[in-house]
Parts: sequence; C-alpha cells; structure tokens
Amino acid sequence: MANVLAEVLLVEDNPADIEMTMRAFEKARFRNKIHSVRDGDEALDFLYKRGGYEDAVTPDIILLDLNMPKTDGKEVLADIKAHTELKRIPVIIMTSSESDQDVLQSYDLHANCYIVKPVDARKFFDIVNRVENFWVDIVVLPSKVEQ
Amino acid sequence: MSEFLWPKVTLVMHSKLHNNHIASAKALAVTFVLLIVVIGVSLWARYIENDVSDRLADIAAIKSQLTITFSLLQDAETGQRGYLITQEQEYLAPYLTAIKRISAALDHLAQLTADSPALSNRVAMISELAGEKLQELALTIHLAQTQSIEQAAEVVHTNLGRQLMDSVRTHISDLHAIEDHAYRNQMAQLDRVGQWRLMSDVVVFLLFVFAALYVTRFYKLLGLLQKERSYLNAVLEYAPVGIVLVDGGGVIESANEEFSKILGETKGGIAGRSLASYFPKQHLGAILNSQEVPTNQTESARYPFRCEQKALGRRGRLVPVEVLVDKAQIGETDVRFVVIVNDITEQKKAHDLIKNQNLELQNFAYVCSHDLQEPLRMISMYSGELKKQLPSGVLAEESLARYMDYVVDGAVRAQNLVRDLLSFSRLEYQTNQLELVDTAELLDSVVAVQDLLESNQIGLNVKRNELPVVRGHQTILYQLFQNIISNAVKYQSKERALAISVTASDQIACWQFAIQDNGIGIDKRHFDKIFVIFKRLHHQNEYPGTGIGLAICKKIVEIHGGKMWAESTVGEGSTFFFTLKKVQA
Repeated sequence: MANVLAEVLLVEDNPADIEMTMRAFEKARFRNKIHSVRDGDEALDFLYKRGGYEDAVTPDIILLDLNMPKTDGKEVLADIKAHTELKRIPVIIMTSSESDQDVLQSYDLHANCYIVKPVDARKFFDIVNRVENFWVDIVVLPSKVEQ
Repeated sequence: MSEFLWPKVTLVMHSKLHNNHIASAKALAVTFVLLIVVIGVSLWARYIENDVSDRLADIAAIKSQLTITFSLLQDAETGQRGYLITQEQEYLAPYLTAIKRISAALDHLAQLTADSPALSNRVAMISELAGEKLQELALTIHLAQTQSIEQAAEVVHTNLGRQLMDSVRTHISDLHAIEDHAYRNQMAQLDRVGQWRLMSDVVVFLLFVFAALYVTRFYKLLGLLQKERSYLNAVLEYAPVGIVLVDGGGVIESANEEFSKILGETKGGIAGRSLASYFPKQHLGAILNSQEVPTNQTESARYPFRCEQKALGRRGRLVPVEVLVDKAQIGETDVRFVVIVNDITEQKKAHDLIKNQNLELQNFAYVCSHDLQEPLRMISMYSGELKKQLPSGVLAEESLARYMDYVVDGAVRAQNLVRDLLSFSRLEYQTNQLELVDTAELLDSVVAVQDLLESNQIGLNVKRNELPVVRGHQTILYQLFQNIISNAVKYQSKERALAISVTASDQIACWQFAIQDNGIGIDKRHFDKIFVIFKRLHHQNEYPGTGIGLAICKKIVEIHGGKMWAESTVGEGSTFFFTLKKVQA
C-alpha cells in the first residue's frame, strides 16, 4: 500500500450515491482508499475509532453528505471542526441540497468546500473525479506534512 | 403600522385665528388713533367755542358800553341845551346825572379794551375828547349861571362843542365797526369749528358702525370656534386611538374614551394621574418630564416622538401599544404634551401569524430544495445511466437490476414525500368547527384499526387511566393518536412484548397526555430532531418511512394550542407528551 496517497472517508446514506462515488474513485484506486459509512453516528465512531471501528485509520479527506438519519452532516462537521486534531482534515460537503441556508451554515462550520450533487450521472462522475484529483493530487494535505 | 395624523383642522384654525389676530390688532390701532383725533377735535372745538363766546361777550360789552358812554354824553349835552334855553334849574338834571356816571363809563370802557392797544388808543382819544366836551359844557353852564346867557351862547356859537361831539361820534362808530368786524370773524370761526365737529361726529358714527361690525364678526368667530371646538372634541373623543393631553409635569389633564378602553380603566379615574403610572417600564415618563429634556437644539428634533411600548392596564395587564408624543408649547411656559396611543395587540398577533406562516413557507421551500431533490436526482441519474449503457449491452444483469431499483426506489420515495408533504400542509385546512372529542373513544378506534392491520397479533396491550373529553378537531386528533400508537408498534423492541400506556393528567389549564411505550427508545441527542419534518433516525432498510409522522403530530397539537415533546431512554422505551386545552365549563 505504499502508493496509497489518501485515505478517504465517505459519509453517505444513499446506496445509489455510494455506488456512483465509489465508481468514480475506482479510476484512481491505486492512489486512494475509500472507506464508506452510512450515517453521522457511524462517521463519528470511525473518526474516534470506537464502536467497531477501533482499527480504523484517520482519513486524509472526508466526503460528507448533509442529509442523513440520526446525527446529520452538520453535526458531524461541527464535531470535527471543534476537535483539535480532526479539524485539519479537509471536509468536502457533497449534498443534494441547494439551500442557501445549508451552504452558509456549512461554511460557517468551516467546511472546506460545498458541492451540490449533479443530477446527471456523467457530471456526477466528472465532479467526483475532479474532487479526487484536486484533493488527492494537487493539494498538500495536512496529514502529509511532517509534524 | 398605521400612520398617526394629528387633526389638520387645528392648524388651519390656528392660522385663521392668527391672521384675524393681526387684522384685529391693526383695526384696533386705527380705531385708537381715530378716537384720539376725535377727542382732540372735540376738546379743541370746545376751547375755540369758549374763546369765541368770551370774545363775543367782550364785543357785546364793548359795544353796549360805547352806546352807554355816547348816550351819557348826549344826555349831558341835552341837559346843557335845555338849561341854556330855559335857564330852569330842573332842565339841568340829565346833565348832572350824566356827568356823575360818565367817567365811570369811560373807565369801564378803558378796562374792556385794555387788551387791545388799537382799541384802547381810540378809547383814550374818546376819553380826551369827552373830557374836552364836558369842559365846554361845564363852561357854558358856568357862564350862564354866573355871567349872562349871551356869553354862554357865544361859547356855544364857537361850534367847538359840536365839533367835539362829532369827533366822539366818529370814533365810537369806528369802534363799533371794528367790533362788528371782530364779531363776524368770531362767527366765522364758530362756523369752522362746527364743520370740524360735524366731521368728528361722522367719524364717531363710522367708528360705531365699525365697532358693531367688529362685534358681530367677533361673535361669528366665537361661534365658529365653538363649532370647531365641538368638532375637535368629537374627533378626540371618538378617535379610534387613545389621545391623552398631559401637562408639562407629566400629569394627565384629559384622556379620551379609547385610551380608557385600551387600558380597561374607567374614564373618570384617569385625569389627574401621572402618565408614567401607565407606562412604568420605559422612560416615557422621563421624556415627558420637561426638566429632563436636554436644552440643546436637538430638543425640537425629538418631537413628535414615536415608540412602541407596553402600557400597564388594569390588574397589571400589559398592552402592546404604539405611542406618539408631541409637544405643544404656547409661549415660554405653557408646555403640554399630546400623547396618542394605538393598541397594536391585533397587529402584533397578525404579525406573529404572518411570521409563523413565512417560517412555514420557508420550511416548505427548504424541504422542496432538500428532501425532494435527492430521490429525483436518483431517478434522473440512474435512468440516464441506463439509457446510455443499455444499448451497448455491457451492463451486467445484476447492475441493471440494481439501477432499476434505485430508479424505482427514488420514484416511490418522491411520491411518498410529496404525499406526506401535502397531508402535512393540508392539516390546517382540515380543521372546521371545534367539537367535543372523547379521547377514550378515539384511542379505542385507533387501537381497533391497529389490531386489524397487525392481524397476526393477539391485540395491542394498551393500558390507560381515565381519558378526558377535549374540544378539538376529531379527524386530526385521531391522526395524532394513530401516529404515536403506530410509531410505538413500528419501533417496538424485539426483545419484549410491546406494552403501551396512555394517561392524562390534570394540569389545571390543560390536560397533559403521556403515551408511553417499551420500544427501542430514542437517543437524547435527537429529541429535537424527531419532530422536524422528514428528519429520520433510521435508514430505510431498518425502518422505512419519510419522517413525517411526528412532525404531523406536533403540528396537530399546535393547531389545538398545545405543546408536544418527548422523553426516552435508548433500549427502554419512549414517552410522548402533549397538552390539550380543557373544555371550558
């Protein structure tokens, strides 16, 4: 796994979206590893390495949906950004919501970017690819910097 | 907010009065000057008339004295002639009488004419001539008595006496002429004075006419004032806003009907109280206190002053009001405040209602952009994918089925969301007349229907205490109970048999219902989320649903004016509480 550049945590409840995202990431599967959780509670368990995720890795990037059962995306975001170490992890909001309120609230909670999921599958694919490319290939991730 | 307008009529009236005031002042000044002139003319005329009458008396006195003097001289001459002719002593009597009085007469004449040198010179000459004449007379009489009548006649025949007499006559007639001329002059002056008097009488008459007109006008204006005043009073009294007149010290002078209505006070008890006693919380009292008004130029900018306040009504009732304060200052010291008070309770209510409705509309828009978007995107995305991939034939059977599932699932979810959203938004329109609803009966039918649905069960185990009759909307109250009970059934624990208890407790003003189950329970962190529309705590594959049920419950309770909340422990069960108003006795 020496060539794995990024551990990606996908927080998404919708299986159709999970499938689409996974497929997009598959293209570059040699340089990233994707972990999928189904809701906010699971995401927090994963991040805090508890409740069955004791062996989980700390992700380099988080793709976060807002609208989920139980603990929703904003709560997860607020939790991450309030945490001393986790707050550095770039959080990319990927959601169906076009609501201004959601956009502003997310940025207020220090989301690193906000993306509205496109309706068209090709575009969805394209966007996820670009996101992957930007965050994995172009950006210097905090986790890759010597502490 | 309604706009306050202090009746314009006052202003109109003020300017009208003001103009009249200026006109009156001018008229009064002119009248005053005219009166002074008239009085002056009158005084002057009287002075002149007195003078003229004095002068006329003088003239008359002089003329009569001239006549007397001359007739005395004639008497003296007559006496002398008679004596000389008859030599009888008794013919001398007129002469003797005349010479006794003549010098006094001449002295009197001199006195009367002393003021005028022209006259007094002539009188002096008359005196001299008269003296010579008297000497001549005395000489002739003496000669006749002591010598002979011929010697006396000789003196007479010198004609000296006759010449002297002619001179005296000439002078006297001259004096008469002078006095007659003076008389005419005085009479002419009297005529002039008469003309002035007539003119001033005309002016006095005109002044009277003017005064009469003025008084008429004054009364007319007074009538107008009274009319406007009664009109203004009517406006003040029946205005749909409270109007209070406050003196400079903040004490209420008078208040209209509406003000007492707003406060729920009797009208009689308001005047004389401090305005601050009705507006205790804010600084309105201080604003009205003229001592606290800063003396700089901003003061004029403070009025009219508008603010929203809580007025203190009877029994401590607080009434939201809009207050407009204006300062009415007449002169330096007479400061009053006009306070207009508008009850905005209804406006506030309407405002809150609109605010709520706006909030709901916002929520609705949010839900549409948010929750509805996702299944639609699913359908669109995967049907697009199917369209693209199907013709090539590379799509695996398994993938095809899954894609189809995504599409169908999206469609079903969208349909359910739309249906639930509709039923949620329709809740309010389903409410017609309030009716008495027996919640015990309601629960019975909910349980019966539930038992029918879950046909494999022995029946729901629902314990209850005595449930009350409430006033509400039967259909939606049924929905309330049904949603909570069906939730209890849906989220029941797999480890134990479902047990539900429904209780109602008396909370004086309302009934508090508690529907308790022994199901899976809810994490405390999510208590506030469960009542939010389309918010769910479970994945579709665990417990399917849209997340509308409790949102509907909460709204139903709120439509009835109650509150709803939940308490729960994960793994032990949940209790849903809600309150419903009691039926008023």
